[in-house]
Amino acid sequence: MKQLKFAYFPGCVSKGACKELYDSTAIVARLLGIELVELKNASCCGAGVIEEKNQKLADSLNARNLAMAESMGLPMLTHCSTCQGVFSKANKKLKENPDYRATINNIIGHDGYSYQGTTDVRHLLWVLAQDVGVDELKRRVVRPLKGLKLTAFYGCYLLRPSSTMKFENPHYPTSMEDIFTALGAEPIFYPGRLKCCGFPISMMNREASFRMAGGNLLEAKGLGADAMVTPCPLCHLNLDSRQPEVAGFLKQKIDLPVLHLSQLVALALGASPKELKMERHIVDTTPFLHKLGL
Amino acid sequence: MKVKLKIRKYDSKQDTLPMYTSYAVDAPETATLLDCLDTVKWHQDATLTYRRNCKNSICGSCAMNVNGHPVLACETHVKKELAISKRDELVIEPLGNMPVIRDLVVDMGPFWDALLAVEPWLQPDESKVPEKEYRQSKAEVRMLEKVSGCIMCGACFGACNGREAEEKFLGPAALARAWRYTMDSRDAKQKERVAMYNEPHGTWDCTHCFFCVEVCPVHVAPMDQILKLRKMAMDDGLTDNPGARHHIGFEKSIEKSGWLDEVKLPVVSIGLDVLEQLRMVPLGLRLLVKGKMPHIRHAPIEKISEVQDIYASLLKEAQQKKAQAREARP
Repeated sequence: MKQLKFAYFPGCVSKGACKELYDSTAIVARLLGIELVELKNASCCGAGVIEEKNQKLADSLNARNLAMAESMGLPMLTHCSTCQGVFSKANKKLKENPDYRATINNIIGHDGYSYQGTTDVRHLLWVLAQDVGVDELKRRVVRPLKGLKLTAFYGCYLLRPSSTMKFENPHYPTSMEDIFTALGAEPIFYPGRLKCCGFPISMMNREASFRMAGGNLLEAKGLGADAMVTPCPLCHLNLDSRQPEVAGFLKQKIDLPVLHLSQLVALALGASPKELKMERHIVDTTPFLHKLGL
Repeated sequence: MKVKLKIRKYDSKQDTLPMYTSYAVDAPETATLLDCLDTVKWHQDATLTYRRNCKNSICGSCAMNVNGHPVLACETHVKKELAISKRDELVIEPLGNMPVIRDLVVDMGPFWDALLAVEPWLQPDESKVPEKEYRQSKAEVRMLEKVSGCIMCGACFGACNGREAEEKFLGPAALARAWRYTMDSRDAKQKERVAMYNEPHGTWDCTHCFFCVEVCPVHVAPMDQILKLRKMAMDDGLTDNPGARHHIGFEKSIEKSGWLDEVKLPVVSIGLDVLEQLRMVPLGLRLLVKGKMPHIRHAPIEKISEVQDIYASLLKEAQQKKAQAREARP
C-alpha cells in the first residue's frame, strides 16, 4: 500500500457531540499507517447552511481551509458526508472559475491565504474503498465481523448531486457494502440507505425529521440488521442520539445500534470497543458487540 | 438482448396488496424502458397499465421508478441501466408519494394540489397595465428559462424525502415554480409570494436531500430554487421561525469561534417556544450521561481573527454596495 498522508479536517461534530468519531478515525489511521496532519485552525465548512444565506462567505471560509491543505502540499481528508459534499462543491467552483477564485482570494488574502485550486478533498470512505482498497483491508482484518448483518447509511451529501459527487453512482453506490464484505460481515441492501436521515430539518419540523429517521431505522431493523453504519456524524446524531425520541414518537421499539464507519473498520482491525468509545452511544451497542464475542 | 423486468402490479379497484410480476423481453440493444414496457403490453400482458405519450422526454407522462429511483421510461436505456446497476433485472414501480391508481399509473392529484397552492400564475400590478403587452428583456426571460422548462413529470415529487415524511410539504416542483413566478419581472407580488412560501410546510420543510436535483430529467434543480426563496425571505426580514433562526445563529456561531457551538445553536433555533425547548431536555440529559455533550465553554479556534477578517471584509463590501445603490437612486 502506498504511503497515505492527508491534511485532516475533523469537522465540528467529531469535536463536539460525536467525539468518539474523532478518536476512532485516529485509530483507523494509526492501524492502516495513514498519516493525518490535523488542520487545527480550519473553520467550519458551513454545512451547506452558510452558503444558503451568504455564498461568498461560505466559499471564502472554505477557500481558506483548502488553502491551508494546499500550502502543506497534501490532499484533504474528511470523515463527514456533509463536510465532504460542501468541500467538493466549493472546490469544484473554485477550480473551474479562475475569476471567481481571484475574487475569493482577494477576501482571504488579508491574512496571507491564497488558493490555487490544486487540492483534492477525499472522504475517509473513499480512501478506504479506493486508496487503501478492499483487498488490502481484507488482508488487515484481525477480527472478522462474521455473522453480522450490516446496513449502510451513506448521507445525502456524499452521493448527490452526481454532477459534483463523482465517486460512485448515486443510485447504486456499493463502497460501504464492499467494505462490510471485506471485513467479513454481510451487507443488507435496502432503499433507506440512500435517503435523508432527517437531521437538516430537526429544528424546523421535528416530527417529519423523526419520521425520516424512524422509517430508515425500522426498515433496516425489519431486514434483520445488527447495526447501521454511517460515514456521516450528522446522520449519526439523528439516527443514534435521537433514536429514543424517534422510537417514542413512532411508538415502536427500535434499539438499532448505529456505528461510525471508523468504529466498524477499527473493530475489524483489532481495536477494542473501549478505545472506540462504543459506550458513548445512546443506543446500547453491547448486543452487537456480544455477537462478536466482545 | 434478453431483459428481465420485475413490475409492481396493483389495481386499486380490486386488489388489497400489490404483486410483483416478472417478464422476460427480447429487446434490441438500443431499447428504452418504454420500448420494453410496450413489448410486454402488446405481446405478453395486455393488463399492464402505464402512462406514455411523446416518447421524447417532453410530455413527462412516463415517469416511474426503476430500481427505486424515478426516471422517464422513454429516455432510460435498459442496457445502460442494467450495466450501471450491476444487476440482472430492473424493478419497475410507480412514483412514490402519490396513491397508485393501477400498476405504474399514480394519481397526480397531490402534485397538482401543491402546484396550485403556490399560485403559479402572473399577478401584475393592475394599476400599471401597459398600453400594448407586458414586455421582458432577453436576460429576464433567460433567467427563468431553465425552471420554466419543468415538464411536470412528478419525478422530483415522487423522490422527495421531505414530502415522504410530511404530506403537507409543498414539495420541489411547486416551490421551483414558486421561485419562477417570484422572479418574473412582470409579477408584482414578490414580497407577498416570498412571505407565503415561508409559511409552515413551505420552503423550510425541504430537507436538502438533493433527490429532486438528481432525478429531474430537465435539470430544473428544484432544491436550488427552494434555497433561493429561503434566502429571499431572510433578506426580507422574515426571521421569526426556527429555520431562519438556525441559519442566522449558525453564521454567528462561526463568526464568534470558527466552529459550531452545538450546545447553543438548538436553543437559539427553537427560540421562545418553551414546550419545544423542554422537549430537548431528555436529549441533553442523555448526551450528558453518555459523555457526548459538547463542552459548555465553547473555545474559539486559535486563529479566529482570520475568520472574523473574512466576515468583516464581506460586511464592508455589502455596505459599500448598499451605499452605491443609494447614490445611484434618482
